[in-house]
Amino acid sequence: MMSELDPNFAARLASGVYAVKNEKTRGAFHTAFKNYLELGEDKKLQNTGLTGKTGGILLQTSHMMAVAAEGKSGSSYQDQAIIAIKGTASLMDGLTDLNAGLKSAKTGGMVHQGFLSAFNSFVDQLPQFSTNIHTIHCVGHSLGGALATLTADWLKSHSGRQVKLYTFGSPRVGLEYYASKTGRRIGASNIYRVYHQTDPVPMVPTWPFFHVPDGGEGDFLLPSGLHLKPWEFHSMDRYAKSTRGEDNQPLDWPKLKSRRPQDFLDSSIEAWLKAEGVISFSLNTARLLSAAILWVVKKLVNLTGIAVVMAGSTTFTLLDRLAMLMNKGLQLAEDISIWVLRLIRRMAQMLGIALRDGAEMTLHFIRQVFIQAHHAVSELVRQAGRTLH
Amino acid sequence: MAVLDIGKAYTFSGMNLKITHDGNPAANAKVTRIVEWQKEQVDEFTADEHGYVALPEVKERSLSQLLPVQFVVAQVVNVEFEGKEYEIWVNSKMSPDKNSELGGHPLDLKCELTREPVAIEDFDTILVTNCQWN
Repeated sequence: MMSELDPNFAARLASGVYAVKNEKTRGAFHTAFKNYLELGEDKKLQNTGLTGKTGGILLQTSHMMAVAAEGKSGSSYQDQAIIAIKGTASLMDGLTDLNAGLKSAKTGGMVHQGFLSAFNSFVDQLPQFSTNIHTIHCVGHSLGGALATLTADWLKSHSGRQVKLYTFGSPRVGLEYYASKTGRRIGASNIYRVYHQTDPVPMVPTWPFFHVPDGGEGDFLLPSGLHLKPWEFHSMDRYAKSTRGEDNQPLDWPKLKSRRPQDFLDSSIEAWLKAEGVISFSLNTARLLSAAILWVVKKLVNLTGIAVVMAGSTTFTLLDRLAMLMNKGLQLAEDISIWVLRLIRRMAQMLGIALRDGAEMTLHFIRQVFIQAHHAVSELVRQAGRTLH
Repeated sequence: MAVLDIGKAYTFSGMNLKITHDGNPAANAKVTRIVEWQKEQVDEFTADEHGYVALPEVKERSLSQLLPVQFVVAQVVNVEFEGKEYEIWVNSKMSPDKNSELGGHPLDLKCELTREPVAIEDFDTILVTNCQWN
């Protein structure tokens, strides 16, 4: 009996679920998956489709955005269930919103409020599933990946069954506490987070949001290769292609893992922070910057025990808090503050902000640098959209 | 690619159909094509006496999409022949590239109307058709 979905089947579900929104192609989803899932004769998926609401408070639209079904009896998915969730356009705005609101997830931890309200719009429709179901697989691409993460965490705490999570190009869902708790609850060996090196969506929301997981066993970083339009590497058809080998045969998870490109080592991040050369802002440097920020924050938090309190109501944005943390770090012993200084200097260089010798690193200045870096990353994400269409 | 084509997406790649019914050309069969991306477009064609019909490509430009949203186009081709309707092609196109429907292969299809439509898994999309290609 199969314990996890293979990468290509997970990709086909994540891709296929986009077809359920439109009634014209919904029946074709039924035909495509009826041998794997208990979809009955119901070509309109009225019993297995989940309807969710997305969009702003004033302009919420309701549409079928997920399918939840038990595995076909007699197939390799018998006694298992699958929940596949599609991405939705309207949540994208929230990804680059500087004032991204946070809400407390019912399972604990702070998460992006846009994702949570979309999740809440279909959580009551999640089926109970038959008692013989021992494993529930949650699958999603892009924002569907964020919703699959919330769904998997919720199901793990409410169903008592084994839950497995598969995401393709998912943005970050919540803050560190949420990410680490969710990772622990679901279990590292039950998570498959697939993302291309130049996909901008997993780069947002920016720190202090964390991935489930960030590195380690369930982190399947894939190369994007040389391509004129690196943005295309967010699209689900690209992810599906990446689950196949050169001979077009589906790959298994260990094979996919072996394709992992060299990631940034601590030593290369250190070297980058120490370097002086001029750098331009691009997808690759944005990724390096993101790794460097995380590296410095970890150093600060580990060595000083400074707690970054994120919860509660406040007028400060998350970036304000990051700037405050960095500012505090600057006042610490030199072996720590030097890294904060180097990071801010590198960021300023990337953004083309002139730094005079001896100029004081005020909180105001640090904040400006972070806000501009945030805008630059957001612009990369927006450009992705332009070239996708 | 002409300059004017930049930014345009193939919402339906050009398709050549040879339609048969019980192995015989479906002469003068009425073909209806529905393409829905940002809005629904419907057009109609008629097969010649040998059952051949060409559906021209459809390209569209997005005016307002500024965020990285998954490209999804619903495609349906229906054939009306001798008073009966057949749905010969239902596809969810997931890439703006030409011929992405068949992973880059030209859409030269032979469609036998009496054949049961089947799900094609080779391209990792939702494609259900009774047509075949080389």
